Amino acid sequence: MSTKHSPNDEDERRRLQEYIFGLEDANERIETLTNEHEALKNSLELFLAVLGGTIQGITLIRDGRFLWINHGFIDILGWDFEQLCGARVEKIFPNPDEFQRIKEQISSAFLTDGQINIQYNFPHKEGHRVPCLLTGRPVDVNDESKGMVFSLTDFTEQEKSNRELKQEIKKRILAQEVSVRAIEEAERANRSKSDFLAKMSHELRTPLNAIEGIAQLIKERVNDPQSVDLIEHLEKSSHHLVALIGDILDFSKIESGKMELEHVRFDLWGLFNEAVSTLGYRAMDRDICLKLNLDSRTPRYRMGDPIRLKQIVFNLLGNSLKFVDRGSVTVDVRPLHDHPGCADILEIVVADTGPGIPAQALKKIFGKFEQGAEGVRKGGTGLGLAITNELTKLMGGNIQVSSTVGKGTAFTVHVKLDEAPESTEQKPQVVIEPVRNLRALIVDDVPVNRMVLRLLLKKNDWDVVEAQNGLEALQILEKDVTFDVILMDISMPVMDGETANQKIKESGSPIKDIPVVALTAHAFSSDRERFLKAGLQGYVSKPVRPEDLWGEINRVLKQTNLEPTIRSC
Amino acid sequence: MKINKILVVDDEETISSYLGRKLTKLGYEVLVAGDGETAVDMAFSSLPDVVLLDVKLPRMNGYEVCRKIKANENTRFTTVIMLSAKTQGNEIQQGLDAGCDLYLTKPIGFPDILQHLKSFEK
Repeated sequence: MSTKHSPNDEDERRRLQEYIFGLEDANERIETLTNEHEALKNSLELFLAVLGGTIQGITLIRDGRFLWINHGFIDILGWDFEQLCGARVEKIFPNPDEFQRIKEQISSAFLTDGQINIQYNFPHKEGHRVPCLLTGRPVDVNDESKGMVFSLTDFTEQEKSNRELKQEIKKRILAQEVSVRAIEEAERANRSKSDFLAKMSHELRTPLNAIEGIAQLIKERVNDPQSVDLIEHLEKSSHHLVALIGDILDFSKIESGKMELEHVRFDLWGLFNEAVSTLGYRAMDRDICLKLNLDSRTPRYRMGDPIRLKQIVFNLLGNSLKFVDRGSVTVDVRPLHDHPGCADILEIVVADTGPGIPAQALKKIFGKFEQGAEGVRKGGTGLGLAITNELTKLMGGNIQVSSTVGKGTAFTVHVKLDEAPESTEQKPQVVIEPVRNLRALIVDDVPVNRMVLRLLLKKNDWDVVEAQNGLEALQILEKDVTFDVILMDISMPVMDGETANQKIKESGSPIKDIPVVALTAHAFSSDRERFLKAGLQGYVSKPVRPEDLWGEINRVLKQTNLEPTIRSC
Repeated sequence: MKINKILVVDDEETISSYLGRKLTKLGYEVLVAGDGETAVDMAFSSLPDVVLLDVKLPRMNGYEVCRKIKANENTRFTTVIMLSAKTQGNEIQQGLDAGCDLYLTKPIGFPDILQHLKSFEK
């Protein structure tokens, strides 16, 4: 039986073997497929998670139907997944015309640019519109039937932030306008400050003019030494006030950038000699040795502003003399033309053996109204060094100070002075003497001003006629034309000096040739130019100093070729 | 013993190709022969570590192949595993007489074959 059944059994076993291996193989294939399926499922989930989580709306459209939409798309347009998947695209549009329009827009964009990039207010399911950017591209450029993928970006937030940005810009523009107005306001305030200073100086100079003039006249009339002493005190105080007003005006000019420097040829040696000798009396009074060391290489003539340079020297010298009780004050002047790059620089060192300045105060010394207790006691405006500092800067230089308490102080000034051209004529030194025996018309609304002038002129044998304002002066001139000079105040009621002068110059009568000298407390040098341009021949600022008046009268008479007879005093 | 090279001998192509594919996947170098004479030639020329040998073969049966391998100086230590549908006691005895190291009977699953192979590797 076993031999009979053996071959069958054997065949059975062979078939079974093949069957088992086949099963094993099939199992293995199933396992592989299961793994592949799992992997595919995983990547599909990942893929859906990414697409689904994207805020942008994404959809695949094939054959005019939504094949798939993501959550972004649902969020933006409000339709459910079930409502749209498989539905025709026109479903989301309220009317077919609109769908046709957008469809054509998409086709033409794709045809012309090869891409779709359209801004459109898409309809939301609830009826309102959502501003969106639509971009799209075909799944397969060569196979239209595979459909197109579109992406929809909601612009609502951007539009909102755009609006906010616009509002912010508007706000900033407003703020800018406010600051521009504030600047204008400040500029106006500055101008009015400047005007105020000019007016104040005018108002102050007018009574000072009277005080100085009267003091001078009284001094000539009294012999009592005590009275003379009192009057001299009065004069000193008045000089100080004049200086203070001048300083304030100078500083306000510097601050407002109105300070303009002259550029004329002047005698450098003379300037220093004059400055030192003018202040010499203050040194002699107190047994202080005041020395001027003028380096022999210092050029005699230079170009610059001699008045302002003298102001610098005066301020520094005056400052030193104020604080030194004994010892010396020296002025060293030398050119720095040996130093490279300093060809036109002049060095002025004013050194004293005074009490010195503490380091703390030294830092602030060039600030305005910075005065030590000592400075307050000794008098002074507190502006001198600030002005000096600014003036040296304007002259293209600088100022430095070094000081040791108990030993003294040294100010070192560097200023740039251009080389002066050779002078063609040597000007003779003009000695100013009173002009005598002429005839003047004094025009001023303030009686005391007229009086001061009248007394001064009468003392020198002048014949004087007075008028209270421009109109009165014109009335006088209608009858009387025999004046050598008209001394004309500017600010007057009824008719001011400038108008009166204009009428005189425009009249056909001989009075148009009578020189007119302005007497005014308008102290800006720009005013002087204005007056001279307006046809006034001369200008003397109040308070009137006799030598200024004589000098100016001399000058205008020479100009008009009416040489006066100058007699020695 | 480390098994690197295995010679699979079976005239049924479904069986030899399945075994070949499975063993290759496990990292063995696999040679396949479809008849007895080829099997002997390949055993002598390629010197496999193991021969998986069917008994019912054309041209030369498995017993003869086994005897020739074991008689050759170069292949006498080659492991020969006979894999046969012949399960009678005398048939198995013939195989052992021919010098085979192991006689396995069909049907058998691949995991079992692999387990026996591994036992030779220890």
